[in-house]
Amino acid sequence: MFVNISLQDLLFSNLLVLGTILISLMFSKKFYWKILWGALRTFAQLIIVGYILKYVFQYNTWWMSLLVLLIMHIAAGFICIDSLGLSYKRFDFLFAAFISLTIAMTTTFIITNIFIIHFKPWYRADYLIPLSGMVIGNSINAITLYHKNVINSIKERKSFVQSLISLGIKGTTAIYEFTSEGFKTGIMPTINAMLMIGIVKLPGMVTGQIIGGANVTQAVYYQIVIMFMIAFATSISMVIFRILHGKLIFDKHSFFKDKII
Amino acid sequence: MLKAKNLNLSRINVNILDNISIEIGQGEILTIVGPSGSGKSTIMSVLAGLIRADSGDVLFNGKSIYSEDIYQHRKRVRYIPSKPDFFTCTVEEHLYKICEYLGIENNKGKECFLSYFDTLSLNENILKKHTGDISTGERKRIFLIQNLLIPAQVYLLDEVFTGLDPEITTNGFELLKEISQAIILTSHNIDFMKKLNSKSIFVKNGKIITKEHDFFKSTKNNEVIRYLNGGNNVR
Repeated sequence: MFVNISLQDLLFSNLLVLGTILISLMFSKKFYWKILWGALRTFAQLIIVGYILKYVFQYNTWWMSLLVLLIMHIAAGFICIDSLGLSYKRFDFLFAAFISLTIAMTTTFIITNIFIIHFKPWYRADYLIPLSGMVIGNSINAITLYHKNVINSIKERKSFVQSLISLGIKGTTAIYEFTSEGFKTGIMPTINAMLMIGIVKLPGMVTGQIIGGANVTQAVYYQIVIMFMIAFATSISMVIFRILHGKLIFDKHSFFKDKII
Repeated sequence: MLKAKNLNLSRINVNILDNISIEIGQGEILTIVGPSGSGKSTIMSVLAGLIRADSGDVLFNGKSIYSEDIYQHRKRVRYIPSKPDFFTCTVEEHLYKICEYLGIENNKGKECFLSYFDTLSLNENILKKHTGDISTGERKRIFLIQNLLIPAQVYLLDEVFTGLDPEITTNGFELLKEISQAIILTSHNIDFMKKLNSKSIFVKNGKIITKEHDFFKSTKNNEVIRYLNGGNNVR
């Protein structure tokens, strides 16, 4: 039987936060602010999202689902820019991240909906939104790792890149080795997660479904599909980002265009 | 043949190139002399179409390189930098990769790069060595060969022969003279450049100080005399 968490129970969960703060005081006198801030953010963000999703699931219209997804993707773009250490004014990078994530998620969901999880209608919010939330995070990490890897390689070996360009080779071709390495670095955490799953780690989705009363086999099947969706979306987002990223680094004459190099 | 017109370039308020204009015709050699950090490599990079100046133009046979296919320009006007860098693999694999990028078949490529080994005093054993394990002199020669796979019309040599023994330097330079139609070079080896008896310019702080034809013998410019006598210590 499903065990409900009452508002009172939820407030008691702060005992765990209090415990964490007390432990942190043993090591630093100022660090507790960060834990408090994190706990507050978790509380506020999830309560707000909970209310919004309740409403979205209830009405379940295509435009509402798409609006939520759009907001999620724009926020994801900003998170990418932030983790790349770039200014929010870099709309070119923001746009590249946004487009890559949108194309990756759209293709992943079309394939999933047609061949694997046949939820109907296609905009069914209680499926589309939680699944997107799980897949998108890994794509953000992949893009960030890809960018950092490629830019650092170019910075370290700029003379190598220029020596290839001086042979009349296009800039994007000259950095092929670096972008391939960037792709591998970007997808590695996903592969590691696939290797660890079930042995070292039982993901939130499996746990959540089991507690929610779902059949264990179904919970496991869902998780398998999710892992494959993550791997696919991660690769697609990096492929698209690679094309756009190349255009941000080099102009049409293969001159280095960007000040970040 | 190759002409730079009023090139200006600055970075973070420092003038790197200050109104540079130079020209080289068919069959000519031009030496660019000057202390380290004077802008010699930048001038060459701009001429080769690797860096774009803030203002000014580069013309090849009278046409701006920016209005034409710049990739073709890089193939015909080739900049060879002082510090070569390679793929992390064996020398042979490196050269094959370059051939692949240039659209040359492996067999033809090998025939081509091996044909330069004798002239540049290289042994075939080097092909099996890792690019990280070869000496500075060998690196320079392999890099030179990489740039001979598709011969250029103009070579821009940035300290390419520094550290190489006199015989290899002479052979290498004669080879490039034979293959190309013009050469621009920079070196701190004053004796080598004196012997060329070519057109020369002296640059300092991104500016051309003198364009006297053979200033190695005849210059009255104090800065140039000081540099030629004292090496690299012009202040």
